[in-house]
Parts: sequence; structure tokens; C-alpha cells
Amino acid sequence: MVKQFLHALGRALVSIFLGVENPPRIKDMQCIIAANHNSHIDIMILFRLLDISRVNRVKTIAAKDYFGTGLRGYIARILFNSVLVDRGVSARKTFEILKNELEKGYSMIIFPEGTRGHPGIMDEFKAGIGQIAIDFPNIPIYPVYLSGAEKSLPKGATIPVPFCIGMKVLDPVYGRDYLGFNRKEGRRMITSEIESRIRSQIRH
Amino acid sequence: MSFYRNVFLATIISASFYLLLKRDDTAMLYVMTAIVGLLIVFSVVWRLLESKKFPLADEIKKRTITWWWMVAVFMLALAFNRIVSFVFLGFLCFAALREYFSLLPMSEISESKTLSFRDRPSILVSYISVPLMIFLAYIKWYELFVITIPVYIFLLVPILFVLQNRTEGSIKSLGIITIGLMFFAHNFGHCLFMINIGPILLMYCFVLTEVRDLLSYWVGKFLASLTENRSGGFMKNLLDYRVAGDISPKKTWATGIVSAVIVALLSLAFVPLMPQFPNGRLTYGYSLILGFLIGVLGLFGDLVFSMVKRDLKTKDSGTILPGHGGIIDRVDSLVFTIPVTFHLIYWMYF
Repeated sequence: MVKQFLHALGRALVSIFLGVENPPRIKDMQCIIAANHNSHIDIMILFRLLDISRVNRVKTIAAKDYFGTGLRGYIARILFNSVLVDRGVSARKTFEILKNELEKGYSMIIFPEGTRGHPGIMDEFKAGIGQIAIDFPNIPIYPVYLSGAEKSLPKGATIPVPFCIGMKVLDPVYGRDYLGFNRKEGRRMITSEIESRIRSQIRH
Repeated sequence: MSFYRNVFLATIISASFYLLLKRDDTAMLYVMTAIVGLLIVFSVVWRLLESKKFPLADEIKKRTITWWWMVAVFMLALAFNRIVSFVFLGFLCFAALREYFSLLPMSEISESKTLSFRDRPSILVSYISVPLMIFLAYIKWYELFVITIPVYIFLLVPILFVLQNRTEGSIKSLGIITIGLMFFAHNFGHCLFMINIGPILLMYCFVLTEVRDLLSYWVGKFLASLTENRSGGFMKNLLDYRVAGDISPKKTWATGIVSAVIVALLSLAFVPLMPQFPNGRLTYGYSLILGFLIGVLGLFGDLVFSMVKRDLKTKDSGTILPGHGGIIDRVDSLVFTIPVTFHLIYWMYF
């Protein structure tokens, strides 16, 4: 209840100060949201894609060394249901954790770039998202393009400054459309499909 | 969904009418009734046009619906009480300023036409100046209100730059930030002090400016239809004389002046509604001058922001108002008309 209230408050603040328009909600029972990552604000904005009653049914992924301790870690774990992942361990182990959560029926918010990186520059997507799509072929993956968040709160900054933030939800990608290919090939194709859909939105 | 939306809209509008009635503000009631009447006419018109499959029907529909919402929110904010009016108009200034800063891309390297990530503190200061302006207008400290931004904030921004130890790209960033401050926090911010004089003065300025925007479109069409069949000659050349052909090929001097004259005549309707100022009432002659100035300045406000948008290669400044574009697309002329109207009134009657 407190969590829902805090989320509602956060949504109101984001609308007022960052001018994020109310997006159409994603209705699928279970979904994966894949977005480009520039700022800590991103996660708050992406949560708006889901109804406020669903905030307990979504998991996010966070690096243990960064979000493991302190207030930052507390907020990430309590408000955004972060699953902590060690950056050091093998990709397979990380993947097991994700798989576990998806099997329990949770939705997921994933940043395939893996890190915020340089502000305003989109890094290459990691192939993990394609792996997930193949293992859960019927869960829709919504590519989401976020713009402007890097101006509000770039890496290294502490005080957010209001700027208009744009969010565009693109058509979902399904793993089932790529099952005909061999595993490695399919994984690569899904990843590059999601990446190119997001990249096509970048305005120069 | 659309039914509930209409009910909600009707509730807001009737609530504001009720509040105005309770305050016994006859002048505002007249203006609001006229605006709502005009909107009802437009709503009937687009339904008629839609049934006849007129090509512009969809555009008019979208714009009219957005107008309904803007008018409803604006009415309620002005009718509710003083604090709500101040916060609402202040938020409008903030939103316009935010949209302006968001138009420009931001990068780490200092290129022309981009902001730098090191500009963020100064931009934050620009935003903070808006609540400061609200406060100063609220306590009616006129002398400080008119100099806060051109003197204090204007000097604070370069001081911040120096404290950041910046060299490269500083003059460009200073220019971008301070012009945003002047346009949207100072000039547009004058609407805050207008509430102190009376909401009717605000309506005088807002209505005439927005009517000019609408009018110039139809006047332009009408004048173009006059010369359509002529192949040349003095009349056609006169009507085709453009203000700035590269910025906007459609805006001609003839359209601008004819619209300004119509706006000046329309402004006369407001004169009997104006309150008693310390130095007497607004005269018909002075209102004609003000109305004409609003017409001309509105045209230039429009063109200035077209110029900025053309430079940045965007068509609309945002997507927040369906059919209109962004907030700047709507308030661009107001940035020019509000401060001039305010100061001319203040100079003559206070």
C-alpha cells in the first residue's frame, strides 16, 4: 500500500517536473520491457507503462556493487523490486536468476545496454535479451525509446534538472518468430531487431 | 471514455462560471461567455465539415478539442482564487521554459546549437527564478519584480559559469540560457503581475493575441484568394510582399496589417469591461493603439519562434497539445504582446 502510494507520488512528480505524458498502459499479463539506459530516472518512467496495481509483479535488475548498499540500494530493492546481480559472475549464472523470476510469472524491465554509459550515446545491446526471448518465446518484449533523461540526471550528477522526457513504446518482439533459426543465430537476430527498432527513433 | 471526458469538461467550465458569479466578476463573465460561445460554434462547424468530408475537418476538430481543454483549465485557474492563478501561470512559464531548453540537444563537446552538460546548474537557476517571480508578483513588489531577471539572475548565470571554471563554448551557452530566461521567465512572466491589476487585463492580452493567431490564417487565405486569378500588377505585388520569406513564405505584410487592424477594432469591445485604474479608465483611442501593437507584435512573436525552430530543424516545439504542437507554439506571440501591453498600461494609468 505504501509502495503504491510512493509510486503514485513519483508518477505525479515525474509528470509535473519532467513533462512525461501518460503513456498507454501495457496490458499483457507478463511482459518484458527493454529500453535504452541513460539515467536513474529511466526506471521510474518505465514503471509508468504498467498499472499501479502491478508494481509488485515487476522485477528489475541491478548491479550488486552499485545498488547493494546504502540508501540507493534500499530504494532500488524496496521500490523497484531490484534483483541484485554480481557484475563479476558468469553470464550463465545471471541468466539463471532472470529465468527463475520469469518462471515465477514476474514481468521484467531490462536495459540491454547493461549500463548507463556515456550520456546521450546508445551502446550496443548485449545478447542476453535475445537469449531470454528464445527461452520464453511467448512473452512479448516491448522495445521502448527514452529521450531526454540524460539531460535531467546524467551519470555523475546528483540533482535532477527538469527537461522534457520523451517515451515511445514500439511494437513488441516475440521469441516465437525466431524459433526456426539455430539458437545462436536467433539470439543475435532478436537482439539486433530490438536494438534497431529503438535506434530508428533517434532524431539527429 | 469520451462521454466521461465531456462530462468532466462541462463540470470544470460550469464550476468556473459558478465561481465567477459568486465573485460577481461581470467583466470576466462576459469574456468567458463569449469564448465558450465561440468554442460551441467551432464544435458545431467541425461536425458539419466532417459530415461533408471537408479536408480540413480533422485539423479543426483536433484544435477545437484542445482549445476546449485549454480554455477550461485557464478559466478555472483564473476564477478559483489568487494563489491558484499565480501557481497556474507560473507553471505555464516553467513549462514553456522547460520546453525551450529541451529543444536543444545536449552534448559533452561544445558544438554550435547544442547545450553542454555543464549548463545544467545555470538551467536549474533559470527554473528557480520562476517561483521567485511568482512570489514577488504575489506580494506586489513591483520594483523588484521587473528587475529580478534582467539584473540579478542575468548576472548570476555568468558568475556561475566562472565558478565552474569554464572557457570553451561559454559565450554560446550564456546566450542560449539568458535568452530563454528573458523570453519565458521575464517577458512571459509579466502575466503574473497582470493578475494584480485584474484578470480582465490578462484576458484582454491573451484573447486578442490568440484571436490574431487564428485570424491571420483566415485573412491570409482570403487575401490569397483575391489575387489568385491575377497574373501580376501592383495589387498582387503589394499583397505578396513578405515579412520574411525564408522563415515563413505565407506571412505577408498585408495579412499582418489587416489582422492587426481587425484586432485593434476587436479590442474596443473590452474597453467598457476594464476596471478603474488609478489614473482613470482605459480610453477607446489608447485601446486602438494597444490592439494594433498586439497585432503587430503577435506577428513578430510568431515569426521569431518560427525562426528558432527552423534553425533547430524542428517543426513543432513539442507534442503536449494535440493539433497545436508544444506549449511554445501556443505562447510564442504572448511572449511579445504581454510585456508591452503591461508596460504601456502601467505607464499610462498607474
